[in-house]
Amino acid sequence: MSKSGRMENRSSIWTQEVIEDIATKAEIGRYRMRGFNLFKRIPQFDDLTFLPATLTRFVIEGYREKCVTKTVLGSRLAERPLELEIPIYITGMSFGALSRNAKIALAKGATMAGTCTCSGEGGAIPEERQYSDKWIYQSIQSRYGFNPYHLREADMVEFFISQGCKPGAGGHLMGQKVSPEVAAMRDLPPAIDQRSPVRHPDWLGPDDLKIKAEEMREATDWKVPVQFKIGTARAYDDVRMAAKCGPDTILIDGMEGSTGAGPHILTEETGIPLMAGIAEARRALEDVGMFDEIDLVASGGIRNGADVAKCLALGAKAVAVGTAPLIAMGSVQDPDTGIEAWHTGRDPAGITTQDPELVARLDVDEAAQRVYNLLHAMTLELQMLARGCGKTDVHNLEPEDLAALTVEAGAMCHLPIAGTSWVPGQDPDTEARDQRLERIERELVMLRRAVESGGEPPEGAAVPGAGDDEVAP
Amino acid sequence: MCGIAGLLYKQGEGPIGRDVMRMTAALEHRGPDSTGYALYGSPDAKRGEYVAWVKVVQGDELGAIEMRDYQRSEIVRVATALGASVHELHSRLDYALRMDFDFDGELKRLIDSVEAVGPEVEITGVGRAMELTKDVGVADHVAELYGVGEVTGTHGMGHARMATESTVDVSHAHPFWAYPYPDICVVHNGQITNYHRTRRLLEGRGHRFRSHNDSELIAVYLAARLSTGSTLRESLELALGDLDGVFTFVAMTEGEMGVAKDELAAKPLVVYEDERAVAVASEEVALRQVWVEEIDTWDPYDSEVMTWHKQSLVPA
Amino acid sequence: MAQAVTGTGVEAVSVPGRDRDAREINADIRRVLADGVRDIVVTDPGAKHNLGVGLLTPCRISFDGSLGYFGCALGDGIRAHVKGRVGWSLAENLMDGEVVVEGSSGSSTGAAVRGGTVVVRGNAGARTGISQKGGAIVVGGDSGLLTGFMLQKGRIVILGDVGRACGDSMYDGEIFVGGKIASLGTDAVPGELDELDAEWLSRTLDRYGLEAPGEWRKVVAGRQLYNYDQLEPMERKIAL
Repeated sequence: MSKSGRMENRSSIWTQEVIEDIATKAEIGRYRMRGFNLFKRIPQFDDLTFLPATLTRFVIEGYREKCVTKTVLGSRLAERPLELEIPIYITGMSFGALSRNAKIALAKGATMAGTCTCSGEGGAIPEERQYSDKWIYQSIQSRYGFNPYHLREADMVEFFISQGCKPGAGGHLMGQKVSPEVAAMRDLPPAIDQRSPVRHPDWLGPDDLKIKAEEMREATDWKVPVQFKIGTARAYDDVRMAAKCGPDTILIDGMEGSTGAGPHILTEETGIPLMAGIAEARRALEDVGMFDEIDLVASGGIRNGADVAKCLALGAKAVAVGTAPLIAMGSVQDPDTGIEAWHTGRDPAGITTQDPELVARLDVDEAAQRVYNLLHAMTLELQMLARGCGKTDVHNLEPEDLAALTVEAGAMCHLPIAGTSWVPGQDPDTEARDQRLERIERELVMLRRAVESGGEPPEGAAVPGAGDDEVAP
Repeated sequence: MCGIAGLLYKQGEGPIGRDVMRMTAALEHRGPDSTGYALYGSPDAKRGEYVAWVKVVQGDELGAIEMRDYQRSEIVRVATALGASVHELHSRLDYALRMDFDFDGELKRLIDSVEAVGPEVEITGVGRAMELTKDVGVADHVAELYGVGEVTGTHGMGHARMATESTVDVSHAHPFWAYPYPDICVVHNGQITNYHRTRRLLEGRGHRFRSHNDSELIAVYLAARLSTGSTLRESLELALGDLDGVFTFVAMTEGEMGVAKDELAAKPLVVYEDERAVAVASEEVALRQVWVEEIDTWDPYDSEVMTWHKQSLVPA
Repeated sequence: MAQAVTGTGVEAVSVPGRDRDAREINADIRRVLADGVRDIVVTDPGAKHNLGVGLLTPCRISFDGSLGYFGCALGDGIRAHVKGRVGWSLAENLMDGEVVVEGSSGSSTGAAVRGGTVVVRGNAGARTGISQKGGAIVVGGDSGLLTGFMLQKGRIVILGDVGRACGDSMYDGEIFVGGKIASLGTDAVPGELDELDAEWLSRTLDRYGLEAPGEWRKVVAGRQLYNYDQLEPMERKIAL
C-alpha cells in the first residue's frame, strides 16, 4: 500500500509494461522491434534438478577420475563427422548482427576450447574460417552471401528451417546495422531494414526437402554432415518429418533463444520451452527408430553447465550457445531499458554494432579469452554434475538422472515430480486395463459363436467378470 | 507431404496397375510412410456389379484369428440379409478382403451395416470399377501385398505418403474414398489449413469422416458437391475457392480424371498427354517410368483445373 | 552457342545417365573434369534431381534430355545446355556462367542466382528469380505467380505473360515483361525503360536467338518498405 493509504496498481492484466506498450503503439502505429530473448516467465531448466548418486549408485571423484567430454556429431551419412572436444559450441550469429571483431573473438575462443562456431545468416567473412578450427556454414532462407566456395570449406552444413525465438518468421537486421560492408555482402541497398523471407526460395515442403538435402551433399561430395536447425514449435511432428529428409543431425532451438532483432510479440508468443522440445524430439526419433542414428543438438537460453547437463540428460548430444558468450565478451545492457543493447546498432562494447569506432573498442584477444573461460567453466560444471550422477562420460547422462520441481516441467519432460513416482500425464494402469478389456471382448465373441452354433463354449472361454479361472457351466 | 500420380489411357485398357505402381515408386523419396492405389479396372475383373475392399482386425494376439473368422462370416451374413448377393469374399491378406457383389438397394445402408460388424471393420472403397488398396509401406511392398501389378484397366492413381501431423496407419493413408459414393476418390499433396472448420460444416450436413487426415476432407467435399449436381470440373474449381492452404490433388470417378493445382503454386505438378494416355504426377521422374524416352511435359499454373474423360481425345 | 572455354585440348566426353543415380553421374562428371576434360555430354539424364550440382570448374556441359530439381545449381563459370526441360529450382545460386534450357522450367527458376545468365526458352513456373542477387534470367515464354519475389539485384526478362504479384517485395533490380502482367506485387511499381535498358535487352535477345516483343513493360522497386521498422521513441539517444 502506498504512503497515502491508497491502492496501487497490482493488476496482473494491465501491468505497467502493458500500459507502456499500448501508449507506444498509439504513437508509432506498428509492432515493436527489439533484440534479446523473451521476458515472460515460462517453465524451463530451473524447474529440473539432478539426482546424484548416493548410496544406490557409485559416485565418480569430482576432480580426479575421468569424465569424457569428447563429442562426435554427424556420423550417420557423412564421410567426415564433426569432432569436438566438448559438447558445447557457438551457434550461428550473423556478421551484421555481430561486428567483425566479435566474430573473430568467438572463433578464437571456440578454437581454444576445441569446439566450433557457425556462420549464421548473411554469409561469411574470411576471418571466420581462418580463425575457427572447426566451422559450420549456414544455409538460410535469404541466402545472403551464400556461395558454394564457402560451402566447400565448411566442416558441417547447417540448413536453417526456423529459430526458437521466432519460429514462423525470418531474420531481421535494422537499417542502422546494414553498413555499406554488410549491405555489399548481402546484395542489399545500405541502411534498409532487412527482413529475410521465412520460406526457402528453392523448396517449399518437407517432400522437397529431401531432394534439397541431397543437393547440399552433392555440392560437398557427401563429405560433411548436414544439420537441420528447427525452432521448437510442433517439435514431435517437425523432428519426425525432418528425420525422413536425410540429415545427419538435427538442432532444436527453444523459445528461450535470443535474436539480434525481431518483433517483440513474436519473441514472446511463439515456440515451446527447449526442455519440452528435446523430450518431444527424442520421442519422435525413437518412434521412427533413428534416435541412435541422428544426433540431436539443443540450443536456446543455455546459461551454464547445469543447463548443458540437463539437455544431455534429456537426449541431446551437444548444445549450442549464443547469448552466453556475448555476455562473456562484455555485452552491455542499455542503462534505460536494462535489456541487451543489440538491435539498435550502438552497442558501446563493440559486439553488436557496425560502427567502426565502437567496434574498435572490443579487444579481440581479451574477448576470445573470456569466451574460452566461459566454455571451460561450463564444461567443468557439466562434468561435476555428470560425475555426481556416476558417469565417466557426459554422454551417459539420461532422463532418469533428473526429477521435476513443478508439474509443468514434469509433464513437458515426462519426468517424475521430485520425491514422488508420479509423471504428470502418464497413467501407468491404462495399458493393463486396455489389454484386459480387449481380452474380454474376444472371449465374448468366441462365446457368442459357440452359443450360436449350439455347441460347447470353446476352451479357455470364461464368463467375463467371473474371475479368470472359472468356466461357464 | 507426398507424391501423387495419375494415369488415364485414351484407347481402351492397359496395364494400369503396373504403370501406376512404377510411377508411385519413383516418388518414394517424397513419401516413404505408406502407399495407396485406386485402380479403375475392367468389368472382367469381377463377377458382380461392385467391388469393395474391406479391412478387418489385424494382428496375431489371442483371439484375433477367431475374431477375423467371425467378422468375415458376419460381413457376408449382414450383406446377404440386406439383399446383396456376395459372389466372393476373397482374402488377399488375412486382414484385407475383396468383396465381389451385386446389390440394388441403398449402398450407404449396406456399407454402414457391414462396418457395424466390428470397430476395426472398414470399407476402404466401393466401386463399379474402382478398387482402392492402401497400406503402410513403400510402393513396391504395398503393390505386392495387393496384387496391384496384375490389374488391367482404364485409369488409376497412386500416392506415396509422408505423414505430417496425423498418424502413420492404414486408415490415414491415401487415396481417400468419398463415402458413400461409389467410384470417387482423391489423392492429395499438401496441407489444408481450414480443415477443422470445413469438416464441422460438412458433418453438420450429414457427411462422415473416418480419420483426422485433412486429405479426407477433399474427398468428402467433392462428394458433397457431386451429389448436389456439380460436375467434376465445377467441384474442383469450387474446392480451390473454399479450401485454404497449399494443396494439389488428383480426383477420379468412374469415367474421369481431374486435377487441381493450388493457388499458391506451392505443390508441384507435371502433366503429359499424347494419343496413348494422359498422366499427371508430382515430378517428371514418375512420368518417365511410363514414357522412357524424352517427352515434352509441362507444369500447370496456380489455380488451374483440368479434367479428362476416358476414351476421349480432348480434355473434358 | 557461347564461345568455347579454354581447355587442355582433350576431346568431349560422354557420361551415361540411364539407370544410374545422381550421385554416380555427378561423381563421373567430377572425375572427368579432374582429368582435364572441358566438354561433357550427359546422355539420358531421365529428369533426375541434382544433376550438375556444385560445378566450379569452367566447362561446357550438355544434357541430352530433361533434368529434375536443382539442375546445374551452385555452379560457377559453367556453360550448360539442357535439350529437354527442367523441374524446380534450375541453377539456384549460380555464381556466374550460363545455363540454357530448350524446354520449360518448373517453379523457383534461377532462385538466389548471383551472376551469369539463366535462359529458359519455354515457360517458367511460379517464383521465377525469387531472392535473385545478380545476373540475368531470361524466359522465352510465360512466367507464373510471384515472378521476381524479393528480387535484390539483377534482371529478369519474360517475353510472354507473367502471373499475379509480379515483383512482390523486390528491393532493387529490374523486371522486363513483353506480354501482360496479371498484377503487380507489394512495393512493385512500373518503371521507365531507358536507352541502356533497350540496348541490353536487344543484345541479350540476339545472343540467344529470341524474338523481341512489340513493347516492353518494366517493373522496379517502389522502395516504400525500406525503413519500415524505425526506432522507437525512447531510442533516439546516443550510446555513451
